[in-house]
Amino acid sequence: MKKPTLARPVLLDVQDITRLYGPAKGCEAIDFQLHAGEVLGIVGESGSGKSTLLRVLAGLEAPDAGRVIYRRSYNEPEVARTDFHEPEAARTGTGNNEVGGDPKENAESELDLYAIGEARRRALLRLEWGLVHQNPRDGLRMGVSAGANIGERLMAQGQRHYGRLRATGQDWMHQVELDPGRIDDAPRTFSGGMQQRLQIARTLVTRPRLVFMDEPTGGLDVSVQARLLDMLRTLVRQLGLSVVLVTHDLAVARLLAHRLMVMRGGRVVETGLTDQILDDPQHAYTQLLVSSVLTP
Amino acid sequence: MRFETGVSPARSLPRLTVDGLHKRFLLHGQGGIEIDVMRDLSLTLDAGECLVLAGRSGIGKSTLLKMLHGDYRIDRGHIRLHFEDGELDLETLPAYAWHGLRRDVIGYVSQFLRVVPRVAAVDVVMEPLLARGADEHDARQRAEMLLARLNLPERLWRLPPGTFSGGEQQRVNIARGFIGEHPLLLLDEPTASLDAANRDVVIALIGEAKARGTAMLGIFHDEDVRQRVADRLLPLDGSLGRLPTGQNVQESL
Repeated sequence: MKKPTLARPVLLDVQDITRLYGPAKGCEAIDFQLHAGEVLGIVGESGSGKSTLLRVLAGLEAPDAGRVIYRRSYNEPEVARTDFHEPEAARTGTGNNEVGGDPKENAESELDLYAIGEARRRALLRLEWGLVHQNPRDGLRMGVSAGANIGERLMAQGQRHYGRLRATGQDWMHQVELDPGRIDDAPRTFSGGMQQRLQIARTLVTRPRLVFMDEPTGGLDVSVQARLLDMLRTLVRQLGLSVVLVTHDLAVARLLAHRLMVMRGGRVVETGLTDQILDDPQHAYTQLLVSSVLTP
Repeated sequence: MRFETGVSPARSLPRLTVDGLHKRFLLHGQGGIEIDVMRDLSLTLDAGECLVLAGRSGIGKSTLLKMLHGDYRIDRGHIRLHFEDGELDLETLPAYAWHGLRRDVIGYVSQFLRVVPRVAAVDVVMEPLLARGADEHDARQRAEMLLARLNLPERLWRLPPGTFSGGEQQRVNIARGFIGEHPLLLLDEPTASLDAANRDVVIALIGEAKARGTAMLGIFHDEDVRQRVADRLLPLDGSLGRLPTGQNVQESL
Protein backbone atom coordinates (compact mmCIF):
# COMPACT_ATOMS: atom_id res chain seq x y z
CA MET A 1 0.00 0.00 0.00
CA LYS A 2 1.04 3.57 -0.63
CA LYS A 3 2.18 5.98 2.02
CA PRO A 4 -0.75 8.17 3.09
CA THR A 5 -0.62 11.91 2.54
CA LEU A 6 -0.75 13.29 6.04
CA ALA A 7 0.55 16.80 5.48
CA ARG A 8 -2.09 19.52 5.86
CA PRO A 9 -1.59 23.17 5.03
CA VAL A 10 -1.45 25.67 7.87
CA LEU A 11 -4.61 27.76 8.08
CA LEU A 12 -3.87 29.84 11.13
CA ASP A 13 -0.38 30.71 12.29
CA VAL A 14 -0.40 32.16 15.79
CA GLN A 15 2.87 33.82 16.70
CA ASP A 16 3.80 34.80 20.23
CA ILE A 17 0.45 36.29 21.19
CA THR A 18 0.22 38.20 24.45
CA ARG A 19 -2.83 39.99 25.78
CA LEU A 20 -2.69 40.90 29.46
CA TYR A 21 -5.19 42.89 31.51
CA GLY A 22 -2.95 42.64 34.54
CA PRO A 23 -0.26 40.34 35.92
CA ALA A 24 -1.19 36.76 34.90
CA LYS A 25 -4.59 37.97 33.74
CA GLY A 26 -5.06 37.16 30.08
CA CYS A 27 -2.78 35.11 27.89
CA GLU A 28 0.94 35.23 27.30
CA ALA A 29 3.42 34.08 24.64
CA ILE A 30 1.03 31.77 22.79
CA ASP A 31 2.40 30.01 19.71
CA PHE A 32 0.64 27.40 17.63
CA GLN A 33 -0.50 26.47 14.15
CA LEU A 34 -3.92 25.23 13.13
CA HIS A 35 -3.92 22.97 10.09
CA ALA A 36 -6.75 22.69 7.59
CA GLY A 37 -9.38 20.17 8.72
CA GLU A 38 -8.22 20.14 12.30
CA VAL A 39 -10.26 20.59 15.46
CA LEU A 40 -8.02 22.11 18.12
CA GLY A 41 -9.34 22.19 21.68
CA ILE A 42 -8.10 24.77 24.17
CA VAL A 43 -8.76 23.45 27.67
CA GLY A 44 -8.17 24.91 31.10
CA GLU A 45 -10.00 26.19 34.15
CA SER A 46 -11.66 29.57 34.41
CA GLY A 47 -9.03 32.29 34.57
CA SER A 48 -6.59 30.26 32.49
CA GLY A 49 -6.75 32.81 29.69
CA LYS A 50 -8.40 30.55 27.14
CA SER A 51 -11.32 32.88 26.42
CA THR A 52 -9.02 35.91 26.10
CA LEU A 53 -6.94 33.95 23.62
CA LEU A 54 -10.03 33.00 21.63
CA ARG A 55 -11.13 36.66 21.45
CA VAL A 56 -7.72 37.62 20.08
CA LEU A 57 -7.73 34.76 17.55
CA ALA A 58 -11.26 35.52 16.42
CA GLY A 59 -10.41 39.13 15.63
CA LEU A 60 -12.38 40.67 18.47
CA GLU A 61 -9.52 42.00 20.55
CA ALA A 62 -6.09 43.21 19.46
CA PRO A 63 -3.14 41.58 21.22
CA ASP A 64 -0.48 43.58 23.11
CA ALA A 65 2.12 41.68 21.11
CA GLY A 66 2.33 38.94 18.52
CA ARG A 67 0.62 38.18 15.24
CA VAL A 68 -2.28 36.11 14.00
CA ILE A 69 -1.66 35.09 10.41
CA TYR A 70 -4.47 33.64 8.32
CA ARG A 71 -3.37 31.73 5.22
CA ARG A 72 -6.45 31.93 3.13
CA SER A 73 -6.04 30.08 -0.13
CA TYR A 74 -4.56 26.69 0.42
CA ASN A 75 -5.07 25.07 -2.98
CA GLU A 76 -8.65 24.26 -2.19
CA PRO A 77 -10.93 25.16 -5.06
CA GLU A 78 -13.25 27.96 -4.06
CA VAL A 79 -16.29 26.02 -5.21
CA ALA A 80 -15.61 23.12 -2.88
CA ARG A 81 -16.66 25.03 0.17
CA THR A 82 -19.73 26.70 -1.24
CA ASP A 83 -21.60 23.88 -2.91
CA PHE A 84 -23.45 22.85 0.22
CA HIS A 85 -27.22 23.34 -0.08
CA GLU A 86 -26.55 26.76 -1.42
CA PRO A 87 -28.18 28.73 -4.16
CA GLU A 88 -26.12 29.96 -7.07
CA ALA A 89 -25.85 33.45 -5.64
CA ALA A 90 -23.52 32.35 -2.85
CA ARG A 91 -21.14 30.75 -5.29
CA THR A 92 -20.95 33.69 -7.57
CA GLY A 93 -21.06 36.27 -4.78
CA THR A 94 -18.63 39.13 -4.98
CA GLY A 95 -17.97 39.03 -1.25
CA ASN A 96 -14.44 37.73 -1.41
CA ASN A 97 -13.06 40.75 -3.18
CA GLU A 98 -14.19 42.80 -0.27
CA VAL A 99 -11.85 40.90 2.05
CA GLY A 100 -9.03 40.36 -0.35
CA GLY A 101 -8.04 43.94 -1.04
CA ASP A 102 -5.63 44.17 -3.92
CA PRO A 103 -5.07 41.04 -5.98
CA LYS A 104 -1.36 40.98 -5.22
CA GLU A 105 -1.99 40.33 -1.56
CA ASN A 106 -4.53 37.72 -2.51
CA ALA A 107 -1.90 35.78 -4.40
CA GLU A 108 0.42 35.87 -1.42
CA SER A 109 -2.49 34.40 0.50
CA GLU A 110 -1.47 35.62 3.93
CA LEU A 111 -3.48 38.01 6.05
CA ASP A 112 -2.07 39.50 9.23
CA LEU A 113 -5.27 39.83 11.24
CA TYR A 114 -4.39 42.99 13.11
CA ALA A 115 -2.32 44.61 10.36
CA ILE A 116 -5.25 44.76 7.95
CA GLY A 117 -7.74 47.53 8.63
CA GLU A 118 -10.80 47.26 10.81
CA ALA A 119 -13.15 47.16 7.80
CA ARG A 120 -11.31 44.29 6.14
CA ARG A 121 -11.05 42.40 9.40
CA ARG A 122 -14.81 42.71 9.91
CA ALA A 123 -15.41 41.53 6.36
CA LEU A 124 -13.17 38.53 6.97
CA LEU A 125 -15.06 37.60 10.13
CA ARG A 126 -18.36 37.95 8.33
CA LEU A 127 -17.43 36.14 5.13
CA GLU A 128 -14.80 33.51 5.81
CA TRP A 129 -14.82 32.88 9.54
CA GLY A 130 -17.46 31.98 12.05
CA LEU A 131 -17.81 32.42 15.78
CA VAL A 132 -20.12 30.42 18.04
CA HIS A 133 -20.60 32.09 21.42
CA GLN A 134 -21.27 30.21 24.63
CA ASN A 135 -24.41 32.24 25.15
CA PRO A 136 -26.58 32.15 22.03
CA ARG A 137 -27.90 35.60 22.94
CA ASP A 138 -24.47 37.00 22.07
CA GLY A 139 -24.57 35.45 18.62
CA LEU A 140 -28.21 35.87 17.66
CA ARG A 141 -30.53 38.78 17.07
CA MET A 142 -33.19 37.88 19.56
CA GLY A 143 -35.86 40.18 18.14
CA VAL A 144 -35.89 39.07 14.51
CA SER A 145 -37.07 35.74 13.10
CA ALA A 146 -35.04 32.55 12.99
CA GLY A 147 -35.01 32.77 9.20
CA ALA A 148 -33.65 36.32 9.26
CA ASN A 149 -30.96 35.21 11.71
CA ILE A 150 -29.79 32.50 9.34
CA GLY A 151 -30.08 34.69 6.25
CA GLU A 152 -28.15 37.64 7.63
CA ARG A 153 -24.67 36.39 6.86
CA LEU A 154 -25.75 35.26 3.39
CA MET A 155 -27.12 38.74 2.72
CA ALA A 156 -23.79 40.15 3.84
CA GLN A 157 -22.28 38.01 1.10
CA GLY A 158 -24.49 39.63 -1.46
CA GLN A 159 -27.50 37.32 -1.62
CA ARG A 160 -30.74 39.21 -2.02
CA HIS A 161 -33.21 36.70 -3.45
CA TYR A 162 -35.88 36.32 -0.74
CA GLY A 163 -37.15 32.92 -1.86
CA ARG A 164 -33.67 31.43 -1.93
CA LEU A 165 -32.72 32.90 1.41
CA ARG A 166 -35.86 31.42 2.91
CA ALA A 167 -35.23 28.01 1.34
CA THR A 168 -31.67 28.00 2.66
CA GLY A 169 -32.98 29.02 6.08
CA GLN A 170 -35.42 26.11 6.16
CA ASP A 171 -32.74 23.76 4.89
CA TRP A 172 -30.42 24.76 7.70
CA MET A 173 -33.10 24.55 10.36
CA HIS A 174 -33.63 20.99 9.24
CA GLN A 175 -29.87 20.44 9.28
CA VAL A 176 -29.59 21.48 12.94
CA GLU A 177 -32.76 19.59 13.85
CA LEU A 178 -35.03 22.59 14.32
CA ASP A 179 -38.58 22.53 13.02
CA PRO A 180 -38.48 24.50 9.72
CA GLY A 181 -42.08 25.45 10.43
CA ARG A 182 -40.79 27.84 13.08
CA ILE A 183 -38.75 29.89 10.62
CA ASP A 184 -40.81 33.02 11.34
CA ASP A 185 -40.56 32.72 15.12
CA ALA A 186 -38.14 34.88 17.07
CA PRO A 187 -35.31 33.06 18.88
CA ARG A 188 -36.51 34.37 22.22
CA THR A 189 -39.40 31.89 21.97
CA PHE A 190 -36.88 29.01 21.61
CA SER A 191 -35.35 26.93 24.41
CA GLY A 192 -31.64 27.34 25.23
CA GLY A 193 -30.68 24.24 23.25
CA MET A 194 -32.71 25.36 20.24
CA GLN A 195 -31.15 28.83 20.38
CA GLN A 196 -27.70 27.29 20.39
CA ARG A 197 -28.54 25.18 17.35
CA LEU A 198 -29.91 28.25 15.60
CA GLN A 199 -26.70 30.11 16.35
CA ILE A 200 -24.74 27.25 14.82
CA ALA A 201 -26.92 27.32 11.69
CA ARG A 202 -26.50 31.10 11.46
CA THR A 203 -22.72 30.72 11.71
CA LEU A 204 -22.25 27.78 9.37
CA VAL A 205 -24.69 28.80 6.62
CA THR A 206 -21.94 30.69 4.79
CA ARG A 207 -19.65 27.66 5.05
CA PRO A 208 -16.83 29.40 6.87
CA ARG A 209 -13.38 27.88 6.53
CA LEU A 210 -12.51 28.53 10.11
CA VAL A 211 -14.85 28.43 13.08
CA PHE A 212 -14.21 29.52 16.65
CA MET A 213 -16.36 28.01 19.37
CA ASP A 214 -16.44 29.24 22.95
CA GLU A 215 -17.91 26.57 25.26
CA PRO A 216 -20.60 25.75 22.67
CA THR A 217 -22.34 23.28 24.99
CA GLY A 218 -21.63 25.26 28.15
CA GLY A 219 -24.96 26.47 29.43
CA LEU A 220 -27.04 23.50 28.32
CA ASP A 221 -28.71 20.61 30.12
CA VAL A 222 -26.78 17.36 29.81
CA SER A 223 -29.34 15.67 27.56
CA VAL A 224 -29.40 18.68 25.23
CA GLN A 225 -25.61 18.81 25.32
CA ALA A 226 -25.24 15.23 24.07
CA ARG A 227 -27.47 15.94 21.10
CA LEU A 228 -25.57 19.10 20.22
CA LEU A 229 -22.20 17.34 20.48
CA ASP A 230 -23.24 14.70 17.99
CA MET A 231 -24.56 17.39 15.67
CA LEU A 232 -21.30 19.34 15.86
CA ARG A 233 -19.26 16.21 15.12
CA THR A 234 -21.36 15.50 12.06
CA LEU A 235 -21.19 19.08 10.77
CA VAL A 236 -17.43 19.27 11.28
CA ARG A 237 -17.05 16.09 9.23
CA GLN A 238 -19.52 16.97 6.49
CA LEU A 239 -18.30 20.53 5.98
CA GLY A 240 -14.63 19.75 6.56
CA LEU A 241 -14.42 22.57 9.08
CA SER A 242 -11.29 23.74 10.82
CA VAL A 243 -12.18 24.62 14.39
CA VAL A 244 -10.65 26.25 17.44
CA LEU A 245 -12.76 25.11 20.38
CA VAL A 246 -12.50 26.52 23.89
CA THR A 247 -13.90 24.32 26.65
CA HIS A 248 -13.32 23.54 30.31
CA ASP A 249 -15.03 20.17 29.81
CA LEU A 250 -12.53 17.41 29.03
CA ALA A 251 -15.27 15.02 27.92
CA VAL A 252 -16.40 17.54 25.30
CA ALA A 253 -12.78 17.98 24.26
CA ARG A 254 -12.37 14.20 23.91
CA LEU A 255 -15.38 13.93 21.64
CA LEU A 256 -14.69 16.89 19.38
CA ALA A 257 -11.00 17.76 19.34
CA HIS A 258 -8.18 16.06 17.45
CA ARG A 259 -5.54 17.95 19.36
CA LEU A 260 -5.47 19.79 22.68
CA MET A 261 -3.68 22.74 24.19
CA VAL A 262 -3.78 22.93 27.99
CA MET A 263 -3.67 26.44 29.48
CA ARG A 264 -2.99 27.62 32.98
CA GLY A 265 -2.31 31.12 34.30
CA GLY A 266 -2.34 32.56 30.77
CA ARG A 267 0.23 30.17 29.38
CA VAL A 268 0.19 26.89 27.49
CA VAL A 269 1.51 24.12 29.72
CA GLU A 270 1.11 21.16 27.37
CA THR A 271 -0.01 20.36 23.83
CA GLY A 272 -0.57 17.08 22.05
CA LEU A 273 -2.94 14.61 20.51
CA THR A 274 -6.20 14.59 22.51
CA ASP A 275 -5.78 10.98 23.62
CA GLN A 276 -2.20 11.65 24.71
CA ILE A 277 -3.18 14.66 26.80
CA LEU A 278 -6.02 12.75 28.47
CA ASP A 279 -4.45 9.27 28.74
CA ASP A 280 -0.77 10.07 29.11
CA PRO A 281 -0.51 13.63 30.48
CA GLN A 282 3.06 14.79 31.08
CA HIS A 283 2.78 18.09 32.94
CA ALA A 284 1.95 18.09 36.66
CA TYR A 285 -0.99 20.44 36.08
CA THR A 286 -2.42 18.35 33.23
CA GLN A 287 -2.15 15.23 35.38
CA LEU A 288 -4.02 17.02 38.16
CA LEU A 289 -6.67 18.31 35.75
CA VAL A 290 -7.26 14.91 34.15
CA SER A 291 -7.32 13.04 37.46
CA SER A 292 -9.82 15.50 38.94
CA VAL A 293 -12.57 14.68 36.45
CA LEU A 294 -15.57 12.94 37.96
CA THR A 295 -16.71 9.85 36.11
CA PRO A 296 -20.25 8.73 36.89
CA MET B 1 1.47 -22.41 15.77
CA ARG B 2 -0.90 -22.51 12.90
CA PHE B 3 0.12 -20.88 9.66
CA GLU B 4 -2.15 -19.73 6.90
CA THR B 5 -1.81 -21.71 3.70
CA GLY B 6 -1.35 -20.00 0.37
CA VAL B 7 1.30 -17.42 1.22
CA SER B 8 0.79 -14.32 -0.89
CA PRO B 9 3.79 -12.23 -1.95
CA ALA B 10 2.49 -9.37 0.19
CA ARG B 11 2.97 -11.45 3.31
CA SER B 12 6.73 -11.31 3.23
CA LEU B 13 6.88 -7.53 3.44
CA PRO B 14 7.13 -6.07 6.92
CA ARG B 15 4.38 -3.57 7.57
CA LEU B 16 5.58 -2.51 11.00
CA THR B 17 8.86 -2.55 12.85
CA VAL B 18 9.27 -1.56 16.49
CA ASP B 19 12.78 -1.05 17.74
CA GLY B 20 14.03 -0.49 21.28
CA LEU B 21 10.79 0.92 22.64
CA HIS B 22 10.73 2.21 26.21
CA LYS B 23 7.91 3.65 28.27
CA ARG B 24 8.13 5.36 31.63
CA PHE B 25 5.36 7.10 33.54
CA LEU B 26 6.21 10.01 35.82
CA LEU B 27 3.44 10.56 38.38
CA HIS B 28 3.66 14.10 39.70
CA GLY B 29 0.73 13.67 42.07
CA GLN B 30 2.40 10.76 43.83
CA GLY B 31 5.59 12.47 44.87
CA GLY B 32 7.04 12.40 41.40
CA ILE B 33 7.65 8.66 41.29
CA GLU B 34 8.75 7.18 38.00
CA ILE B 35 7.61 3.78 36.83
CA ASP B 36 9.18 1.87 33.97
CA VAL B 37 6.49 -0.13 32.23
CA MET B 38 8.35 -1.08 29.05
CA ARG B 39 12.00 -1.74 28.38
CA ASP B 40 13.68 -2.28 25.04
CA LEU B 41 10.77 -3.84 23.20
CA SER B 42 11.31 -4.75 19.55
CA LEU B 43 9.17 -6.57 17.01
CA THR B 44 8.48 -6.99 13.32
CA LEU B 45 5.00 -7.49 11.90
CA ASP B 46 4.32 -8.59 8.35
CA ALA B 47 1.35 -7.91 6.16
CA GLY B 48 -1.26 -10.66 6.49
CA GLU B 49 0.11 -11.76 9.83
CA CYS B 50 -1.46 -11.86 13.30
CA LEU B 51 1.10 -11.48 16.07
CA VAL B 52 -0.23 -12.18 19.55
CA LEU B 53 1.29 -10.51 22.59
CA ALA B 54 2.03 -13.08 25.27
CA GLY B 55 2.87 -12.49 28.90
CA ARG B 56 1.50 -12.55 32.42
CA SER B 57 -1.88 -11.02 33.03
CA GLY B 58 -1.70 -7.40 34.18
CA ILE B 59 1.80 -6.94 32.78
CA GLY B 60 0.68 -4.01 30.60
CA LYS B 61 0.35 -5.48 27.14
CA SER B 62 -2.18 -2.80 26.22
CA THR B 63 0.57 -0.21 26.72
CA LEU B 64 2.19 -1.29 23.49
CA LEU B 65 -1.09 -1.04 21.56
CA LYS B 66 -1.73 2.40 23.04
CA MET B 67 1.70 3.61 21.95
CA LEU B 68 1.08 2.30 18.42
CA HIS B 69 -2.27 4.08 18.35
CA GLY B 70 -0.89 7.37 19.66
CA ASP B 71 -2.80 7.23 22.95
CA TYR B 72 0.51 7.13 24.82
CA ARG B 73 3.55 9.15 23.90
CA ILE B 74 6.63 7.40 22.60
CA ASP B 75 9.43 8.30 25.05
CA ARG B 76 12.29 6.39 23.51
CA GLY B 77 12.66 3.96 20.60
CA HIS B 78 11.24 3.75 17.12
CA ILE B 79 7.95 2.73 15.58
CA ARG B 80 8.11 2.57 11.82
CA LEU B 81 5.40 1.82 9.27
CA HIS B 82 6.49 0.51 5.88
CA PHE B 83 4.76 1.36 2.63
CA GLU B 84 5.50 0.49 -1.00
CA ASP B 85 6.82 3.99 -1.55
CA GLY B 86 8.46 4.80 1.74
CA GLU B 87 8.39 4.70 5.50
CA LEU B 88 6.77 6.65 8.27
CA ASP B 89 8.31 7.10 11.72
CA LEU B 90 5.61 7.48 14.34
CA GLU B 91 7.84 8.84 17.11
CA THR B 92 8.44 12.00 15.08
CA LEU B 93 4.98 12.28 13.52
CA PRO B 94 3.45 15.69 14.32
CA ALA B 95 0.27 15.59 16.38
CA TYR B 96 -1.86 17.07 13.59
CA ALA B 97 -1.01 14.15 11.28
CA TRP B 98 -2.30 11.43 13.61
CA HIS B 99 -5.99 11.68 12.86
CA GLY B 100 -5.34 11.08 9.17
CA LEU B 101 -3.15 8.11 10.05
CA ARG B 102 -5.86 6.65 12.28
CA ARG B 103 -8.49 7.23 9.66
CA ASP B 104 -6.59 5.51 6.86
CA VAL B 105 -3.90 3.22 8.29
CA ILE B 106 -4.13 2.20 11.95
CA GLY B 107 -7.36 0.69 13.27
CA TYR B 108 -8.00 -0.19 16.89
CA VAL B 109 -10.50 -2.41 18.63
CA SER B 110 -10.24 -1.30 22.24
CA GLN B 111 -11.52 -3.30 25.19
CA PHE B 112 -14.30 -0.87 25.92
CA LEU B 113 -16.54 1.13 23.65
CA ARG B 114 -16.31 4.86 24.20
CA VAL B 115 -19.95 5.73 23.88
CA VAL B 116 -21.04 8.96 22.29
CA PRO B 117 -24.35 9.73 23.96
CA ARG B 118 -27.37 9.61 21.71
CA VAL B 119 -25.60 8.10 18.69
CA ALA B 120 -27.21 4.88 17.39
CA ALA B 121 -25.15 1.69 17.26
CA VAL B 122 -25.25 1.55 13.46
CA ASP B 123 -23.99 5.15 13.25
CA VAL B 124 -21.16 4.37 15.66
CA VAL B 125 -20.13 1.49 13.40
CA MET B 126 -20.28 3.38 10.09
CA GLU B 127 -18.44 6.49 11.31
CA PRO B 128 -14.94 5.33 10.22
CA LEU B 129 -16.22 5.01 6.63
CA LEU B 130 -18.00 8.38 6.68
CA ALA B 131 -14.79 9.98 7.96
CA ARG B 132 -13.20 8.92 4.67
CA GLY B 133 -16.02 10.44 2.70
CA ALA B 134 -17.81 7.18 1.90
CA ASP B 135 -21.37 7.25 0.61
CA GLU B 136 -23.75 7.16 3.57
CA HIS B 137 -26.02 4.50 2.09
CA ASP B 138 -23.13 2.14 1.33
CA ALA B 139 -21.59 2.73 4.76
CA ARG B 140 -24.89 1.95 6.47
CA GLN B 141 -25.25 -1.27 4.49
CA ARG B 142 -21.75 -2.38 5.44
CA ALA B 143 -22.40 -1.55 9.09
CA GLU B 144 -25.67 -3.46 9.16
CA MET B 145 -24.06 -6.43 7.49
CA LEU B 146 -21.35 -6.57 10.14
CA LEU B 147 -23.80 -6.12 13.02
CA ALA B 148 -25.96 -8.89 11.60
CA ARG B 149 -22.93 -11.14 11.26
CA LEU B 150 -22.05 -10.46 14.88
CA ASN B 151 -25.61 -11.46 15.86
CA LEU B 152 -26.55 -8.10 17.32
CA PRO B 153 -30.38 -8.11 17.35
CA GLU B 154 -31.74 -5.78 14.70
CA ARG B 155 -33.95 -3.95 17.22
CA LEU B 156 -30.74 -2.61 18.83
CA TRP B 157 -29.21 -1.15 15.68
CA ARG B 158 -31.02 2.19 15.94
CA LEU B 159 -30.42 2.54 19.70
CA PRO B 160 -27.44 4.20 21.37
CA PRO B 161 -25.20 1.45 22.82
CA GLY B 162 -24.91 3.16 26.22
CA THR B 163 -27.48 0.82 27.75
CA PHE B 164 -26.31 -2.36 25.98
CA SER B 165 -24.76 -5.31 27.82
CA GLY B 166 -20.97 -5.69 27.85
CA GLY B 167 -21.07 -8.31 25.11
CA GLU B 168 -23.37 -6.22 22.92
CA GLN B 169 -21.16 -3.15 23.29
CA GLN B 170 -18.11 -5.24 22.48
CA ARG B 171 -19.72 -6.41 19.23
CA VAL B 172 -20.51 -2.82 18.23
CA ASN B 173 -16.89 -2.03 18.98
CA ILE B 174 -15.64 -4.95 16.87
CA ALA B 175 -17.86 -3.97 13.93
CA ARG B 176 -16.54 -0.39 14.17
CA GLY B 177 -12.97 -1.65 14.31
CA PHE B 178 -13.22 -4.01 11.33
CA ILE B 179 -15.43 -1.93 9.03
CA GLY B 180 -12.58 0.36 7.95
CA GLU B 181 -10.33 -2.53 6.78
CA HIS B 182 -7.25 -0.65 7.98
CA PRO B 183 -3.94 -2.17 6.83
CA LEU B 184 -2.77 -2.30 10.46
CA LEU B 185 -5.22 -3.41 13.12
CA LEU B 186 -4.68 -3.42 16.88
CA LEU B 187 -6.88 -5.84 18.83
CA ASP B 188 -7.19 -5.48 22.60
CA GLU B 189 -9.07 -8.56 23.80
CA PRO B 190 -11.81 -8.33 21.22
CA THR B 191 -13.35 -11.64 22.33
CA ALA B 192 -13.23 -11.06 26.10
CA SER B 193 -16.96 -10.80 26.76
CA LEU B 194 -18.31 -12.87 23.87
CA ASP B 195 -20.02 -16.25 23.77
CA ALA B 196 -18.61 -19.11 21.69
CA ALA B 197 -20.69 -18.38 18.58
CA ASN B 198 -19.60 -14.73 18.45
CA ARG B 199 -16.00 -15.66 19.22
CA ASP B 200 -16.13 -17.77 16.08
CA VAL B 201 -17.38 -14.79 14.08
CA VAL B 202 -14.47 -12.65 15.32
CA ILE B 203 -12.01 -15.42 14.47
CA ALA B 204 -13.50 -15.56 10.96
CA LEU B 205 -13.20 -11.76 10.64
CA ILE B 206 -9.54 -11.98 11.65
CA GLY B 207 -9.00 -14.72 9.07
CA GLU B 208 -10.57 -12.60 6.33
CA ALA B 209 -8.44 -9.62 7.35
CA LYS B 210 -5.32 -11.75 7.07
CA ALA B 211 -6.36 -12.81 3.59
CA ARG B 212 -6.66 -9.10 2.67
CA GLY B 213 -3.11 -8.57 3.88
CA THR B 214 -4.00 -6.81 7.12
CA ALA B 215 -1.23 -6.85 9.70
CA MET B 216 -2.63 -7.47 13.18
CA LEU B 217 -1.23 -7.14 16.66
CA GLY B 218 -3.47 -8.58 19.32
CA ILE B 219 -4.04 -9.45 22.95
CA PHE B 220 -6.15 -12.58 23.53
CA HIS B 221 -6.49 -14.15 26.94
CA ASP B 222 -8.61 -17.05 25.71
CA GLU B 223 -6.16 -19.86 24.97
CA ASP B 224 -8.40 -21.43 22.32
CA VAL B 225 -8.84 -18.15 20.42
CA ARG B 226 -5.13 -17.45 20.65
CA GLN B 227 -4.33 -20.86 19.13
CA ARG B 228 -6.71 -20.24 16.28
CA VAL B 229 -5.65 -16.71 15.28
CA ALA B 230 -1.97 -16.42 16.13
CA ASP B 231 0.67 -16.86 13.46
CA ARG B 232 3.34 -16.07 16.04
CA LEU B 233 3.53 -15.28 19.74
CA LEU B 234 5.61 -12.41 21.06
CA PRO B 235 6.79 -13.15 24.60
CA LEU B 236 6.82 -9.94 26.62
CA ASP B 237 7.54 -10.97 30.20
CA GLY B 238 11.07 -9.61 29.85
CA SER B 239 10.21 -6.20 28.46
CA LEU B 240 6.93 -5.36 30.20
CA GLY B 241 5.87 -5.03 33.82
CA ARG B 242 6.12 -2.26 36.39
CA LEU B 243 9.54 -1.55 37.71
CA PRO B 244 10.65 1.40 39.79
CA THR B 245 13.35 3.16 37.81
CA GLY B 246 17.00 2.50 38.48
CA GLN B 247 16.49 -1.19 39.15
CA ASN B 248 18.56 -3.53 37.06
CA VAL B 249 16.26 -5.26 34.64
CA GLN B 250 18.31 -8.46 34.66
CA GLU B 251 17.82 -8.90 38.40
CA SER B 252 14.10 -8.90 38.06
CA LEU B 253 13.93 -11.66 35.49
